[in-house]
Amino acid sequence: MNRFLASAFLGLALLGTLAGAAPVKWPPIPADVWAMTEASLPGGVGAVNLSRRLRVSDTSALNEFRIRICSQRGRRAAEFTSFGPEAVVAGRVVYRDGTELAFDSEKDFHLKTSLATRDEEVKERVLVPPGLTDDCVVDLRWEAPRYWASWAKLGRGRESWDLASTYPTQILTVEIGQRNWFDWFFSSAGLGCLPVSTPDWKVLTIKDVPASTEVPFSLKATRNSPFLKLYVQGELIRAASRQGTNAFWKKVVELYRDYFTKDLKMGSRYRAFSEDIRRDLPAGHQALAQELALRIQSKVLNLQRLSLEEQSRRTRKQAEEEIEMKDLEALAKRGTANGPGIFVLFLQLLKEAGVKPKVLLVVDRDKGVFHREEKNINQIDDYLVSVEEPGKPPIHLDPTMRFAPPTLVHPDYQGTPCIEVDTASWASRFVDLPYQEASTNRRRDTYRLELLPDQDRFTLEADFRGYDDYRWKVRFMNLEPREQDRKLREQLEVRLDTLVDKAQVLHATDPRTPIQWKASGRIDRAVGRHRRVDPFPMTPLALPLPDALSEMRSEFIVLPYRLEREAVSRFRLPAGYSWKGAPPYQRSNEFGSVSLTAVREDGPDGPEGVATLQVKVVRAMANPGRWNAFKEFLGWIREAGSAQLILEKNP
Amino acid sequence: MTARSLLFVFLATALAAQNVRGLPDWAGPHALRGAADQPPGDPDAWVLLDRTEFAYRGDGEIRKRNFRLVRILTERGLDQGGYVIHGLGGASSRIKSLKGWNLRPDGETVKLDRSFVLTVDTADSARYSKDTTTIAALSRVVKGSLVAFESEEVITHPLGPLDITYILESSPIRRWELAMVKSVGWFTATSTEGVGLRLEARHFAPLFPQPDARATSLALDDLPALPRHESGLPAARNALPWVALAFSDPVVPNAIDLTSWDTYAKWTHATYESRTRPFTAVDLAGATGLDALRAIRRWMQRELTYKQVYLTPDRGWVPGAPEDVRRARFGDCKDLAGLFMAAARGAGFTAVPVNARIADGAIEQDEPVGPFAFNHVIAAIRLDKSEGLPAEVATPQGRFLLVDLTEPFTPLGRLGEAHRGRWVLICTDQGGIWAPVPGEAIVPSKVEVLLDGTETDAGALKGTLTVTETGEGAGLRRLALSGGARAVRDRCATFLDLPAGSRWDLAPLPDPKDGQDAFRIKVDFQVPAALEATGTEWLLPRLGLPPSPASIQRLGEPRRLPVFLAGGPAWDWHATFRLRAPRAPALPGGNLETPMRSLRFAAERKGDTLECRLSQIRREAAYPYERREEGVEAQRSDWKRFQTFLDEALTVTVPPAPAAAPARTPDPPAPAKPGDRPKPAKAKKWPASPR
Repeated sequence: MNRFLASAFLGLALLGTLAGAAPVKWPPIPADVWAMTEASLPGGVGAVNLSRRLRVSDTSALNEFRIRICSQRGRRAAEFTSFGPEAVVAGRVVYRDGTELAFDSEKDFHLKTSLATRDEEVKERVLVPPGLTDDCVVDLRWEAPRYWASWAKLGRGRESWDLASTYPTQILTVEIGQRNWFDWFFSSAGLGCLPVSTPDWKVLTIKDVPASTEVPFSLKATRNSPFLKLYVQGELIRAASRQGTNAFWKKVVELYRDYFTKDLKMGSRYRAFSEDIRRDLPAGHQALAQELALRIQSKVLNLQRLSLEEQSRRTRKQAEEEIEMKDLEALAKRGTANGPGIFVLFLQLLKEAGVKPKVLLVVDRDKGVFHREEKNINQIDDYLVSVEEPGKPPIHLDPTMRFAPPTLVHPDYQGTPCIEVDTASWASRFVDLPYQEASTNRRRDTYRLELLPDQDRFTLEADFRGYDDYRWKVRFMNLEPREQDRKLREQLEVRLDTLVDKAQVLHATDPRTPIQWKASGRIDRAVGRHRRVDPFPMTPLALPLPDALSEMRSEFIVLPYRLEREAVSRFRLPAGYSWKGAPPYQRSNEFGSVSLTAVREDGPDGPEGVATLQVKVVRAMANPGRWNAFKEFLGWIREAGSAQLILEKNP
Repeated sequence: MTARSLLFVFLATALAAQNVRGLPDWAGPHALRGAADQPPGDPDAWVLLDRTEFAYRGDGEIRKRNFRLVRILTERGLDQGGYVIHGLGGASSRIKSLKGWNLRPDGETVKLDRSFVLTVDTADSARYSKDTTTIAALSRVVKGSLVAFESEEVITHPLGPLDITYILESSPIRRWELAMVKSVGWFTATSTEGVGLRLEARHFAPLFPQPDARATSLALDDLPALPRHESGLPAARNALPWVALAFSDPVVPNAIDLTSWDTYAKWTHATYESRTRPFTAVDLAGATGLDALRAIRRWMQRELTYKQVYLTPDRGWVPGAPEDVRRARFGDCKDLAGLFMAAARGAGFTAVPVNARIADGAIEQDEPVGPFAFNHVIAAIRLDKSEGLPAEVATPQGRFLLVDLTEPFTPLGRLGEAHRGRWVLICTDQGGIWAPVPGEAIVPSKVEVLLDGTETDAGALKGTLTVTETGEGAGLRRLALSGGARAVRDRCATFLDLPAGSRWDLAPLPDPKDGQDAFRIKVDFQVPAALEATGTEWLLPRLGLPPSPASIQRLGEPRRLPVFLAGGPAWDWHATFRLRAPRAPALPGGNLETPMRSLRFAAERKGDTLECRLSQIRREAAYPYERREEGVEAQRSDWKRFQTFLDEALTVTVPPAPAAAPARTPDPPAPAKPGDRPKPAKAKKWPASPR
């Protein structure tokens, strides 16, 4: 019997076993478990996973939890509601007096349809756990079959587990079968891990896994959250993975080389297109590459970033047309391409223009951190072009980001490890993609305020650069101009006391010109003994801040991107009020600087106030030990960004 | 009309006639009529027809057919290319047919592809159910498309053949129709003879004429869209038009008899009676009478949690067996009420179910008989004599004590804020008794803030805030129960209005389920500035003051719907500021009276210490359609006056120098009088900025 058949047989056998599963024998509960109280539990969340066990093999996945609940809030720790329809679930609630309640009743389990389409119906088994109290221990176990042998034959399949739950775990045990159809990667997320091998199982144990919760300014991938990934890949690459890390990634680069360059279809139309688009390009390689990327944007419609109007103009035939990314001849004929097609075209045109760039195979930090030892081609999320020129830092280009400044690198790729591939030799190395400077990403707001008896009238012009330019273009680029203006107006009218009577978005679909806003409106105000002036009423804080920040932190600090903000506001002092300006506010630390000045000046029609806010965020990542410094920086951003000027009514 | 105009109309009509051939027959005439008109305002989509037919097929089954035609006017209106059907799931509802057409302006017609129809379950972490939502999406919808959907659902509602529908939506509607019919299909053996039709149109006035009471079909033209920029609204069921409909079929088993509230109440009573036999839920340790009830109530509050579990549609109306609820340790309102009733019966009481409505509007005086009047069930205990409890109601059928089992903190004999001003239907085997919830039964909702702060040498304010809440208060106790100390600490930032740069620590919380009337938190804080300089004056920080109201109407836009402003907790604020130098209150005392609040403030200086007291009572305010603009203006005036009053109240100045006082034994400062104006600060003595 070959391995495939053996595995399939084992799967079927397990199903039979699961269907007629014998009562589970739970291990005894140590007495000290009952001494735990809500106050003594870590994290203040009212429950703790005393143990969690995951055992995976080609034919099954087994999960076991033992949970100590010490408060009503902690009851949620035992609410695992959904399991696969084939899962066999058993559990019990144990009380302090030794009595227990088993989940042995069919009424605790329900089969329901979670999703249905014409072609499939997804059912899930729902457990409504009974008998939970504020002082109990819950044992829960479920096992479901897996079919990795079949999935391996198909060459695709993946499964992953985040092993830190929203409650702390005292002992985490992961057992992985030694002979599998799948490849696997386990990350202890920096926590101490004790691996043990037996003939049948690889056993990994971690103690004191902290709870994993949403934390502001963090990435899921950098939290203390162990995970396990199982995956199968094509036979070719799977064979390379057996030969070690270097051989594997070399193979990956070869595959990408073929993906980008092999079997390209180029005929007379393409040649004419190429000659035309490369005419009169600037001399330097970097300037050439930027201009070429911009020309591609104007000559080739990116089908993955169509505006609604462009979509509406496409005929059914066009909409249903199969796009072959390597058929540059058809691309030249149609004038359209999908993202990969545009990338292939850009590489080819650079080559024809005499530029041999590097290709960067990059990882999206929101999805995960690149692990070299994880021999998994699915780690690669995207690819960029890098162009070097003597005496200058390299520039990075993503020709598929429609309307973006050509050298913008998406922040999710910055500061992350990636694979750099030289297209001259197709040799590769691992490098870190650098962060772009704060000055790359800018927003500048210019206000003119008119302080009326019970309203503030405002005009605003906002200019954007870098990722701020692209971010706002993405928000507006799919709309026609009228709808862009309307969307902006509604965005500015967040509060009902604000009326925006004019809003205009400029250059939302122009890759050569940054986006710009113009708006005017009025805000209802309460005016009495003092008149509060909000100098920057439509300017958001430079970083999105939660209402409260924790005292302690164990997760890496990750900022969205480096940036600069400036807002300038000018207003004439209303009659009957006095104001002498405010003391300057200037703060800075390793994360950046914040400054706010508000001065009184003599204007053509009388005294005026001029307020200027400047924020620079110069750091993109920091270790948890810098939490207090970062909190201080955030406090300055909030303090200066929400500052109001207070005019005093004359006696 | 000129000859040129006539020609234009003729050509437009001919062109339109050619264009609408891709639509189903029922849509064509409406598409043509809509093509010649313009919708009111500047909407994103215009519903040219929304027609719903409810056909009774016997055996409690309703066939609900909907015909909907929409013209897409803007890119934002493209979401009208989707169509949503909410179902009860299980055997109670299924979609028999669903068709869709997208007639594009270029003449192409795209029909609904079943691959773009998706059914998902709608349960969330707070609710287990089999409810489903089916979403159909037409492809290639563009601006100018005419989108048509036709659906047929088969509904067997567990309560019988009845339904409810709201009329207005976010888009204007050119033609809206609803019809009830008795329908016998070719292959249906069941007769619908003797089946009665009841259609009740609610709150049509003043937007639409009130239909004939005997009508079984309705039609309306030119319905406005719901306004997008209005808050402070009454509940939709009490202000916006809706329709309740029911087929009375005497042969359908177990259906509710909707003849009268008495018959409805008897059905409800019987449903609970059969499932709440006397039961010992907890060891009462010999307690009897009210003590036994209190013991049961306290046990339930400690041990059981409220959770919605509707895994089959009929679970929405039928309580779980008491032994099952006890075992599960959770349940929704009917489960908890049922368990309490069974346990009370076990302790020798007579208990009955009580239908109620909390939140989402109130039950009205002329409410049509039916289950949709209610969204909550509580219990009533029959009393032989008054026990002096506020939640007792005296009725022609005797005296009852109302108990809401979903309230985790309210003691026996009291009810929560959600019942204030509401009516309940006590359901006995004799019929229904409508009773108002006694006002004194409601646990008063109050927040008391005690602030004790000292200005530091660096100009910061450091001290303690103690917050005591009763009733719903600020929701801190509820938050402590659901989210623990961390959630309460985080809430402090906004609740106490802690400015940027503040630090605060929350003292260990008391057990939220300790059964005490009041819940207290204590916060040690430090805020960056004790005083904010304004020139010649200073402002005290706004820590722990009642929240500021926000505008309810887009500035400059006329109001379209009535105004309803809920009340809020009473608020008492007592602050002691120990400052580095003497400061006098600019407003030693004052009152603010608006339709929404009464607010009193007093401040007193004792040397370098300021004592401030503020108390506020909030009031509910309602302005019907004809007074809606008055309501908007009153609310606008309220929030402005509130702001300026607080601004004045928190202003401090340099106190007047004591006149010719002895140097070593100064007289205490004369109390400030209303109307006193402060003198300018002496810049040399105190810094211009506390920073």
